[in-house]
Amino acid sequence: MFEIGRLCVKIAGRQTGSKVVIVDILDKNFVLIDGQVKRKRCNITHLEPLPQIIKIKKNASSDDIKKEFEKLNIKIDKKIINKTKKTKASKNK
Amino acid sequence: MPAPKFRSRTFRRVNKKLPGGRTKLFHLKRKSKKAHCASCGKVLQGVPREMPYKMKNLAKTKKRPERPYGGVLCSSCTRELIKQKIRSENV
Repeated sequence: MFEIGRLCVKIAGRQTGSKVVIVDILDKNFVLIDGQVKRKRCNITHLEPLPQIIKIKKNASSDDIKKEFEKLNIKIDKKIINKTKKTKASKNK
Repeated sequence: MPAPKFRSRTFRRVNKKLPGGRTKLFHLKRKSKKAHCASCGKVLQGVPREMPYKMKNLAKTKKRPERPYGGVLCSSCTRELIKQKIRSENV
């Protein structure tokens, strides 16, 4: 049920109701999620799987995920900047 | 006769035993009821138990959790509600 590319909805925490995709499976209980939330680790009990699966590689970058989400016309908030981008920008200053 | 401000019913009367053995009548402020979940009736977390005039001055995030239905439903009830919503949409 929880495989890479599976679309889910977060049902706990501040981002309840936001659509996410599973990017990587860490272990029995934890998966890496991205999409309408910042990329982070999440417990599978806080996720509710959806019937759709999107084709992404393991550890796909956030840009690919944004493109896939546009295809399914799921809006992604502009404010969500993944940490990887931010640290690069702050280093150049 | 107690002081004029204590004669109104905004203060609740509580009899307490003192270390010397005698009892004294205390006039204590009234507290509002704890917030309860709308569906299961459990006490809500993250909602302070203050009188309305004090709650007004609190910041918005201090008055309820930042979760959808925060301050209305407890965490497990929101989980069930969201699950049913998703499952009914995707049947």
